[in-house]
Amino acid sequence: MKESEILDKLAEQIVNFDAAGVKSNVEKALKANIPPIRIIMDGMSKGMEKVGRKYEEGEYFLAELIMAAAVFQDGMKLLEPYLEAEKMQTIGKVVIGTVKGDVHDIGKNIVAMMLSVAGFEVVDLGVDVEPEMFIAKVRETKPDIVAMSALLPITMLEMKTVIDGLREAGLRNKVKVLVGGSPVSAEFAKSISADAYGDNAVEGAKICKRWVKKS
Amino acid sequence: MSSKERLLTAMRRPHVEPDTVPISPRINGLLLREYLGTKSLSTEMWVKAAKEFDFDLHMNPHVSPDYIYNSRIPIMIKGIGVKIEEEKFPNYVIVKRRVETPKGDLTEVTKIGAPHEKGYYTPSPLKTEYFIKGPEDLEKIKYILPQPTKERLSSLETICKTVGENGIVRATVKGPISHWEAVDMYALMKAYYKDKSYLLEVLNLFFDNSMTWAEAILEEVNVDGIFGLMFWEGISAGWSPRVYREIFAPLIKKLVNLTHSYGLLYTHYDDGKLMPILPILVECDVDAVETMTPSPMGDADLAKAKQLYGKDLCLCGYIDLWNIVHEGTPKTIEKAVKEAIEIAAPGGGFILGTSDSIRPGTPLENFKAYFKAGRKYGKYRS
Repeated sequence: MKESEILDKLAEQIVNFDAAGVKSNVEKALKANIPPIRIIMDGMSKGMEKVGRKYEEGEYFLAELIMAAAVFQDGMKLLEPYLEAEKMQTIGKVVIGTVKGDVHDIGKNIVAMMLSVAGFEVVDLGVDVEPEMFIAKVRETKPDIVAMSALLPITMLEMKTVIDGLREAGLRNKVKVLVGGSPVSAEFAKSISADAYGDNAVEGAKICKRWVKKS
Repeated sequence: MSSKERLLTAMRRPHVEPDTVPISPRINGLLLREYLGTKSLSTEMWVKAAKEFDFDLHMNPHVSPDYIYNSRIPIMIKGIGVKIEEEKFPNYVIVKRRVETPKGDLTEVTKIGAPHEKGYYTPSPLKTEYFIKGPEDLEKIKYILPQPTKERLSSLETICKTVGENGIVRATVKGPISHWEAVDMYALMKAYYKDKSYLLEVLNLFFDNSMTWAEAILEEVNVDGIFGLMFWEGISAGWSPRVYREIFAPLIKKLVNLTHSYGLLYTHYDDGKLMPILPILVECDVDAVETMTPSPMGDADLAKAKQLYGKDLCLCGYIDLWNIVHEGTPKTIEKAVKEAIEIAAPGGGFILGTSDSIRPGTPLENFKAYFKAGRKYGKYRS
């Protein structure tokens, strides 16, 4: 089988949540001396991109994203020993969390997942994150991007508190700020001086990719 | 018409127009306490509030105890040991529970946040460890599934009597996931693709218990209907319409059939996105659907829903609790209420409500403007 055929098949297997197929094809790819980074970027990640498109088109939902990501992670585990020698470059770092008072994590988790498979290092602070925690993590981990999620109209106001806190701490111009979640809008993002609003998880990940490419 | 007649007329099919559009929003108890100046809120106080603000009362009591979901409610079952540890932090508490059953222990960890300083909300308890971690825990959890008791049923009967003609009482019956939260949702989603029989076993285990409660309620209590609470089963929770039709619709249909067999009405509650599943709810013979949440929180297109499913479903809710009722002005509220009534009221089958509970902090003038507009534009011509 040609190198491109193996990688294309791997992408399809991610799209179809075929864990056994991914395992066998990753092994095949390694035997064929395809570099692990190529297996990830031109095989499995391409599959996740297709999964993302299906999500945007309304064909896939969260259950399918979770399943595809689980199969992707299984493939990554097989490749980990080979990646030790050939360190994979991350394309950027994102600190992400659901804001204070809000324990909804679905949207935030999808964004984190899409960012992770796109090659970002993701520092996931979880849910109900205090503004001070966002700021402390930005200071500590020096990310390129801060991404905040909220599901409740009331809790989304906490996004402004975080942005104001970043400004007061002298960190605002060191990071891009992305906001998202059901009640959030582009107008709201602008009103609180966020850099962008992601209408959905896939778009959010695309915006982050655009930002790190530019810098 | 009494409020009860008005609400039931709007819900029954084939739809006919009641005397006026029923106004029956969800209202946060804290807000009502604030307006009424009371410390507690009994059923009598709800009735009083309905009269004072001129709305058609609906009550949807949770009859089955929520102690599996809510770690603050004690589990008191003969022969079952329960150990609780609480660790307090400045803004939250960690509650660890260990339940000792004859088949082994169940453990769970919940993080409970502090209420918002203005009382707007208290973060929902966040499970960081679930009782059910795998198939081996299913036999254990059976020991603590709540069973109907005379006391519980009789307190529901008291609520029904107190509400009387001032509104309707629908007993809340939990879906297989919502308000149980005994299993990690993501694990269930993966199980759909990896081990469907396990997923179905989990769903049936909890839903069978809900059905037991529904049967007991319908048999013993004079309720007006059943209120199926199913937001974690919906598409906003991440399930696709395809999966919804396959695994949740048969359960909903079962509950609907049971309710109908007693000549009563079934309301389906999901405060997330609903449009893609409305045709499925029609197939399930659901009578009413709530909350028809509009954008940005939901996806309700009231005109489309009325046109496509208005004959089959009574549409309840719709007005955005935050952007319209809380943040709006009496003028913008009147406009939104008028528009909703113009779209969905003709022919009946519409109950003016809200996208979720009207929150504490909502200006009283806005609250009053909502009801005033509902009554002003809600009159049917006939």
